[in-house]
Amino acid sequence: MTDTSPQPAEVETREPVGPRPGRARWQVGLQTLVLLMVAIAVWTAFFVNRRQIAALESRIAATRPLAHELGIEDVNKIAVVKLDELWYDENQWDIYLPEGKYRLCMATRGIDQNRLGPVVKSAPIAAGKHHLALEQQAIRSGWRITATWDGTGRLVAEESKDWDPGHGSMGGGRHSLSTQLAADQPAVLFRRIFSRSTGNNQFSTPSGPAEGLLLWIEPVAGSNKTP
Amino acid sequence: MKLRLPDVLLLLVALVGGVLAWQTGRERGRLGDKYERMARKTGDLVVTDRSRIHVRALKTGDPMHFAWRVYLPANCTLKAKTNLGDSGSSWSSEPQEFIARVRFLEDEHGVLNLYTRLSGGSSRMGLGDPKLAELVRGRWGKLLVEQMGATELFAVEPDQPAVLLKLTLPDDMQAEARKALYPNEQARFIPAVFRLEFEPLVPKQ
Repeated sequence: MTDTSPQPAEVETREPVGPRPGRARWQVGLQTLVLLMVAIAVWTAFFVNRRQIAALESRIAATRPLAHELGIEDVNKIAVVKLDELWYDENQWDIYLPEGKYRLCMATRGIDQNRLGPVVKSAPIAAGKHHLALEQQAIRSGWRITATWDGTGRLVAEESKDWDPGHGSMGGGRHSLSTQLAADQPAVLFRRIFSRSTGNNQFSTPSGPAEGLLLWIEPVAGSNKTP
Repeated sequence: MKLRLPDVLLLLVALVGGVLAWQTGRERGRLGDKYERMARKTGDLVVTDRSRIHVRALKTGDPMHFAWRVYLPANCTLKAKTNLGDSGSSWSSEPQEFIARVRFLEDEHGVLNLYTRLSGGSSRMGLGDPKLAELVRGRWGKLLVEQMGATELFAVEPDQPAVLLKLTLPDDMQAEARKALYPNEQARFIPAVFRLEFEPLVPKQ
């Protein structure tokens, strides 16, 4: 009987008071658990964000050519974008001109594929953002070509009927994608050369200077800083 | 509070991750805003199967103006024809996305003009006699419009025919058109005053 009777003092000393040596390395405190969850959460958010950024960048790249948004990365350069056509041969642009003095120029003859032509009409255009439109209309005496900007500026030239005989043309509005150009160089917005008859009902675009339409913005000499 | 070495390491990992998550979250927000701004102009087209043509109609606010955001798969030949004849075809080795437009306007001579723009370019043509313009003037809202992708994203195999736009005269306007238009124009404009469809790339057997 004496062998089986409880001995409180002995039992108390044998009861475990701390972790058993074999379990200690796997035991995790609440603080560690919380930190682990936070770390997993923020890194998951990071990888999800990265995946969504890649998807957005791909969709933006596909949409950018359709949106025709003016992008100004460098405020010291001209920025220009031709807007989406809503009707046949509709030509409109959004333009940004950095600080300086500029003029809008129009040529209707002596136009080739690279150089500027002799100016028939020009008007000053201020630095800043503008919305510009170009229109060619048939009138009784021939043709009227009108460039308007911001509802206030207007540049008009008139030409005879034989100027555009209606045999087709080459070229048109430029910068369907937003572009930045040096502010000290002319920014050509529109270049078109009309086709001419070569006989036997054949028509071709002259390689040399010919009738057509050229619209550009150029700095007024000596007024602009070169960045 | 005393931090043990594993907790210190976890804290560092969480802090670095937090900074990166914050930075990428900001970038994602910026790009999301940019895309939403663009999509307000161009429509939002999510391509679910890159081998199929996808079409989503865009709102123009003008009953005489119809527009779509279109996705064409690579090596897809898009042939379009109307009730007035072929509207051209285009091919590209790369996938293309573009905005297609069909718009009607009356010119200074009272003739209804049609502007179409698909992937290959644009065209403008006069539609018949001024009597056709008189018939529909001020009554575009009465035409029965079937526009592809108007209610939901439309996806079609490139070799399947599909009608992009069909404008049908209602019965009372058809009766008027039979009286007003010349016989050859009646054949072209009754009952559908305009129909634009994709032609199949490979004829079905």
